[in-house]
Amino acid sequence: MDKVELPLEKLNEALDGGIKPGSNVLLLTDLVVNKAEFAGALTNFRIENGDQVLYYLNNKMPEYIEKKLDNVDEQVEIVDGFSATLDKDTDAEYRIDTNIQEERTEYVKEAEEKIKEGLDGKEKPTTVVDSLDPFVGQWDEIGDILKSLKPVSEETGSVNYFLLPNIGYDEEGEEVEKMKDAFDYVFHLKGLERSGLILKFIEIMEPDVKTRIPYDSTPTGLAMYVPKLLVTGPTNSGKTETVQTLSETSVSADEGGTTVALDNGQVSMKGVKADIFGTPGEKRFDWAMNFLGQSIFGSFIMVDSRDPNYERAKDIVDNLKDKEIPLIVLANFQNKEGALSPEEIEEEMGLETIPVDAKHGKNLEEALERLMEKILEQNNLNFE
Amino acid sequence: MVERISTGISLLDEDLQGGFPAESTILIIGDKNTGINQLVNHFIYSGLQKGEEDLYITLNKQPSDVKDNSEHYGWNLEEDGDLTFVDGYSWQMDEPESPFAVTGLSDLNEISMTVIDALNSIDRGPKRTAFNSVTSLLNYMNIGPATKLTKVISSKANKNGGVMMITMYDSVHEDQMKERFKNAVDGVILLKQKKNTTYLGVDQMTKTDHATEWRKLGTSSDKGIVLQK
Repeated sequence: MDKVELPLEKLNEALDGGIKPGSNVLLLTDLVVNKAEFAGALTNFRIENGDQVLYYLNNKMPEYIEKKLDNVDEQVEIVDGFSATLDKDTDAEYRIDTNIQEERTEYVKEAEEKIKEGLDGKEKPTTVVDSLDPFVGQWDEIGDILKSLKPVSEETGSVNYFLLPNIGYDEEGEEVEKMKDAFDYVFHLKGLERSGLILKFIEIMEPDVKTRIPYDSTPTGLAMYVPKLLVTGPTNSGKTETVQTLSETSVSADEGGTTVALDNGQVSMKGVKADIFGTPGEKRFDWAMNFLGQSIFGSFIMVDSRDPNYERAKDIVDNLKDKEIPLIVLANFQNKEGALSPEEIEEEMGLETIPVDAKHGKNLEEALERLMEKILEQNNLNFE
Repeated sequence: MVERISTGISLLDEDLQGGFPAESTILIIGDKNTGINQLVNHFIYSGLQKGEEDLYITLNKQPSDVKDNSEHYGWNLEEDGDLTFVDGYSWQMDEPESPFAVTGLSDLNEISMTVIDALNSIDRGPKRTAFNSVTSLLNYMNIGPATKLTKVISSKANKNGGVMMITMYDSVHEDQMKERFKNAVDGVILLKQKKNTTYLGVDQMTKTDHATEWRKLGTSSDKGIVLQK
């Protein structure tokens, strides 16, 4: 049977085409990431592809979800596992009448039955279980639910997505092993937060393909996205050129060729979008770097390889060090006579250094890719 | 020297050698009729009087009810300072009363993100945060996730030298649950009622020595909160 595609090409590539029909997929989500928003984007992508969707929810009234999904009347059926808790009416296709707080075992049984009933007769549907919040830590209950749904999932080819909040599981720990055993696929939706900005990325934990993909939700699916990168360095090292060369569109403010405000552009590279900012190189503009530095996720330090101005470059690095973000030195003007080698510059700066020719865009994409890799290698910055 | 945040009650400040230690999470355990809501409202009010920007996460009342109840004791939460509410109650019936509102109390990610958005809207972070009450949260989730959620919130809320006060209704929970929650906070204050008199006692408090005597706690609409030896 053909695999079921996900809304990010990189995810499909990493998973050899997508998800196997009849599979259970766990979306383990950090508390700074909106799991319902991710599920909505994923569901809308599958709706676009013609799937029938069964959406079970137990944490809010169905109308909140209906507002977020496309073509609800034609392609979506809701299993309402919430309104009975509030003793409210619902217009959902299926309603669980038991109150989860009063009759837990009965509730789980009824939920399983209603989901099976909803799946019955559908062809390759998408099922969303939003969420496993009431079952956190209850691995026996989760196991029973999966076991109960497995036959009908295999028969219909339904891909079932289960949303679980990450309450601080140890990635090498026993509970994560249980997740990997119980589910066919485990995706960890991670969030790095800096001053209110959140970089979200997917780490595939099962199967063991070691892939990390930055993303953001769009109305119809997902896009690869990094919120904020910085290009800084001494005056005339080529920062503006770098922002302009990397960006699809960019804005710059300069006086006689020297930047006196911020350069800003949006980069699009191999499907990844990122907002990129360049700061002026003069010391009097350090406030701009400090201000931006609160919410950036990684930075390039540009130097002119012919005259690196190490004193100023190191001063800038010192300024950024306490932000605990990945830094890469870009050794610019490598095409010019008298340029020092990247190795010499790396030795002096003590930071990974990549040779570039910003004006002609040489090596900039590779540098950006490397910076992304370093950003995604970090652990959660603020919450553990 | 540990920075202190005044409790708003002079005798309690004295008992704690100057107030709650900064960057602490304090659990108040007591029943509804012990003045537990007044204690937390007064804590917030005393911060606002100093011109602070504070945060009130209300899960058991609408923000307008919190304000009305405080007004009854002469504490105007809209005067001085700036109070941001996270509305964790209106989802049950009405339109939300704050831009920071949740659609239920079962979605850990939604609650966490709503509170973080509210915290990020406060420039230097709050000095005082009220979380009233964890009992409401425990109606919808287990103790493990509830503890984790309050830890995530307090680590962010207390980052700039703040104090977060969490309330828990005593007789609703089993001892084991209360013990687990007590282990997850820095300080615990107990409110007990004996023969129509409420007593307040500091049960545990890290980063400071504290008195261990029980104090008589009274609340009235003309005097607010009164604590006596």
